[in-house]
Amino acid sequence: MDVVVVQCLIEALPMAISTSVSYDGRLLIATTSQSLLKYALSDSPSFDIRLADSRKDFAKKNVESMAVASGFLLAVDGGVVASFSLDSLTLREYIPATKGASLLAVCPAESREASENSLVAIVVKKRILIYSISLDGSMRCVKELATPERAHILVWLNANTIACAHPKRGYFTVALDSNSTTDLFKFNNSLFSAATGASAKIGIAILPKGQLLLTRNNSGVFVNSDGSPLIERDLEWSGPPDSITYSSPYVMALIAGAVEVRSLTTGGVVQRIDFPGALSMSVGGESLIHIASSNCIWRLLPVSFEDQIEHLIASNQFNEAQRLIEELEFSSEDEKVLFGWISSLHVFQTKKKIERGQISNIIRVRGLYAHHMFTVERKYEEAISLLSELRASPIDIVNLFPQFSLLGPSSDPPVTDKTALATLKDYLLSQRQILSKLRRLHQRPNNLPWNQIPPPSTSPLTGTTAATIAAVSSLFSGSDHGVPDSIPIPENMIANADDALFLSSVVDTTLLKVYLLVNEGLVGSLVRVENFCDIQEAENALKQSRKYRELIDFYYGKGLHRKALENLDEPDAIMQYLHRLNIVAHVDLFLEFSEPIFNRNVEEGLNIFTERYEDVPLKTHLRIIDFFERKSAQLETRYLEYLIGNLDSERPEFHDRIVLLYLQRLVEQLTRSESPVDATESVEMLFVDAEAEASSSDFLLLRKKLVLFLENSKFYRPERLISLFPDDVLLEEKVVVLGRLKMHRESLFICIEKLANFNLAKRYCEMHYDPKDPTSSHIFVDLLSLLLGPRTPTTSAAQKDQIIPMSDIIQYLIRYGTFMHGTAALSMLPDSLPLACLVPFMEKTLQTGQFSSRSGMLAVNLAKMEHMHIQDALIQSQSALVTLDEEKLCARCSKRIGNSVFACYSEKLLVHVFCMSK
Amino acid sequence: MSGRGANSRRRPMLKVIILGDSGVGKTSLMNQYVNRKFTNQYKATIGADFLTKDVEIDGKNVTTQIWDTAGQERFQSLGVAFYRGADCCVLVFDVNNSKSFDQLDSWRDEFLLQASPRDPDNFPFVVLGNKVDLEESRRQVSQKRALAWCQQKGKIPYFETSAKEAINVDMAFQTMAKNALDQEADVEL
Repeated sequence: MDVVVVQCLIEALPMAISTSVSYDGRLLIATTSQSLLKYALSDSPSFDIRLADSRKDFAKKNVESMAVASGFLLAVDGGVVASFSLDSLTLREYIPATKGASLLAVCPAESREASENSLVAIVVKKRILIYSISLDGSMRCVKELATPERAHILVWLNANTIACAHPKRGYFTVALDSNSTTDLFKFNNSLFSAATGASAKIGIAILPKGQLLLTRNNSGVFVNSDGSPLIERDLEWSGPPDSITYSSPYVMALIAGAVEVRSLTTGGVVQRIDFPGALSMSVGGESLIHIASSNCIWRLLPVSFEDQIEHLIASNQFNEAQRLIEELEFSSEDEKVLFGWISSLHVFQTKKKIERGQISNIIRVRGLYAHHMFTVERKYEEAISLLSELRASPIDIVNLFPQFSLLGPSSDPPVTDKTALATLKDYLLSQRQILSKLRRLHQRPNNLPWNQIPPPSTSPLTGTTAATIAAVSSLFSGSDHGVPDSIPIPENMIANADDALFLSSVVDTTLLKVYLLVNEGLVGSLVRVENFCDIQEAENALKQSRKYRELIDFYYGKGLHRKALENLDEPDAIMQYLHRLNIVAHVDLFLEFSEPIFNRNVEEGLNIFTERYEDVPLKTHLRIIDFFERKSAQLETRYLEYLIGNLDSERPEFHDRIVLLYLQRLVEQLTRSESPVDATESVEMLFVDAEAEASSSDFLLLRKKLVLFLENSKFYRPERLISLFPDDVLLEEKVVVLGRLKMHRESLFICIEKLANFNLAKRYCEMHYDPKDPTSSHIFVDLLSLLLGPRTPTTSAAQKDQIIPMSDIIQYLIRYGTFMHGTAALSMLPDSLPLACLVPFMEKTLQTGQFSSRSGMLAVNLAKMEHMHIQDALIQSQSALVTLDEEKLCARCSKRIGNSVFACYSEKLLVHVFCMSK
Repeated sequence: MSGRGANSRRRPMLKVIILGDSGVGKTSLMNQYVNRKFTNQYKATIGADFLTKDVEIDGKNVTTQIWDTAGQERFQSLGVAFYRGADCCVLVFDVNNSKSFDQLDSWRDEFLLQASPRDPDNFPFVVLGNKVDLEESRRQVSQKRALAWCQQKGKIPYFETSAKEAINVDMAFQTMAKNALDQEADVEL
């Protein structure tokens, strides 16, 4: 993979390059012919390089080393350091004290305070001179450090420490403040000891976190800046590097005319680039690596990390890609740990510097890696757990399975591996849990307990989102003590209620399909509990697997009762289903689907409407009655009987209707039968309270039922019903209704003239006699007049035979005489009647008369007595004496009574009349 | 040989989960069974809690770990991990509260979903109709109705219990442990 691309800056320079330095878009080249060339580089709009300036013979001898500091160019010119102005390239001064200098290095700007002067370290034999360069360019030696050997390589670790290397002695650091030397690595006791010699090639590269890479010939070791070795890592180069350097996140070495780029973590070769004749490598302007040969200069441009990552992904090197990102963006361990928890609130609080772009990049790479693991490596569990760790949307995970994918039909073969499906099932279950909490949260955002919302100031996010996230995260902690739970709701899932519902639907629908594949026994449970399965999909899936019972349960849970009932044909199943429904809400379904039940068994059909329902509104009752009315009069009757008898309905309509239904049925039976009227003695039993005998005919039983109803119900409307009764049959029933209307004459007329049923007439009078009611007080006399009066012409011959004998009339007189007006009754009696027969009647009447007159007198006298008692009491009260003096006060206003008009209460309390009236 | 020896020395542990609407007496039943104590005071359970009791079933020593749950908690909030590995589930309702009985269906279904047993139809459940010590007139769920439900759900054993009077509590838990053990034996076979 290419992590860098080569850009040629100088090609085939006609002069030989001795050394070069680049800074701020400039490139300075010192040639072996003591010329200095200054090039200007520009990168935008496009790369351009041109010669900006040049000086011939700028140095006395061959320049071996150059550096730029504080606007000045420092060069080691024939063993003496000289400084030049950068702008004009003119010599400023030679520093004689540096005679014998071989190497110089400027302390990097990032290692020192901006206000301080630049420091430059100059190697002069076994010493290092530290010069400070002020802004005006004057150089002053501030330190002289002694080193055990002449340093061949010199690197600033920080403003106080310099690392040096010597091919024989090894590597050591020198501290500026204490002038002390610390060995990083001594060759005489090291693994390098075999290869001692001045020819050994050595190098130092500064790595992040204060670590160093030290190389000697082919080998490289990692040490901390205090010299302690990092034994877990080692590096073998393909050849002895001339020079090494670190360019995040790689180490690069110039080895025999080629640059080798290696990964710091794996040590593996990432890229190799040939640079024929290359002699040196250094970090120049814009921190780019510059390579120089005797007549060419190249620089290495890092490939954008996005491109590198793309490249790695394209070749399925997800781990490499991920490592690259991690190495790039985050160097400390704790930051890396956070990758797994990128979406947790904590990250945003503490690591604001992590840009979202980088995070999403990591998520993407890891996500792609997970996909790769799943589809290619078939590590299902790891893949799904990685994805859920990344808080991937359930949709992404579902889409891993072509057979469940939301992307529509796919040509990929379905994933049928048992482990994969089991992993998916577990994952979906955990998502169900999260989503159910999420939905609840959306349902009642205002009901969160206060203690679950942390003070807003602690949250870096603003507004409701922050509060919601915080509340969500706290929902998952606490409360469930002893229970390992606490799956935080991913922040990106809090979005909105609609999304939560959609995800719930995806999760539940897929779970249903998974269950159908791996554990059919749980399908029923899933469809019966609250679920968000997509109706169409669940329907298809259940039908395909012939899970009809579960399908019905699913419909039930979703309230799709019509669909459920349409899928049922067994009367028992329909019955069971209807029993679970509320008749008020679903009366239409009851009416529509009860047919098969009625067809099998009318009682069962009726039961559906009458069992276990209370508080059914009138509207529903009317719907059902209407339904039965069209179905059959008998069912309608049965239902009305249920309403009136069991539910005690007081609706006059129901009572009227049931009377009408009874009547209709009776009339029907009458017309059907030849001799319908039973013997009179049977008719008698209509009015007997006893239970009907078993021998009685249906007709009679029904009549008895009707009579009983007419007599007991207080809610039918007789004025409406009376016209419905036929004129010549069912007269007994009619009599009851007439009685309710207080049409006593008509009733009695029917009893005597039409039915010739004296007993019925007497019973009627007994029932309706009421001395206080003008219409009912004289019914006994009315009956007498009927008995004695002329027969109407309509009276049939048969009835004439049954003329009531006079003796019965006399008996009647005697028995009920007291309830009749004596003179009215007497005047009606025929003259031919022997007076003797009337003696008992007269006696009784007179007795009654006398009794009532005597009781009247008694009452009068008692009243008079009471009147006198009260008068006496009044006089007593009025004669009471009250002494009035200056001290008597009104009991109400507590003022003196004086001469005002006053009133006196029985307890001798005095009040002003005025006060009393208040 | 050594493997079997180690096995027999290890006391089997049964994980039992008690479920049911709030206020039906789950905690009381557990306390009665484990501690032989009863209090009339109602204190809502928070989250979940467990007690253990060692029992002898068919000459075998068994530790039952009884998990009591909060009836108010909606099911899913306890999480899959809580239900996984359960050996038996005790469904409790209050015979004087018809609604708590109606809810048994959904408690059972939710439990099955969360616990995901391999053979849901034969998972050992026990149903307890609690609070039978209260006067008969307050009763809303007849024994017949409860038995019919249990029969329909695969012959679940049914006990009418009273945590207060310690009626049937021991027997119910004993049966439960036995069924759970039998089930385990089946799985091992």
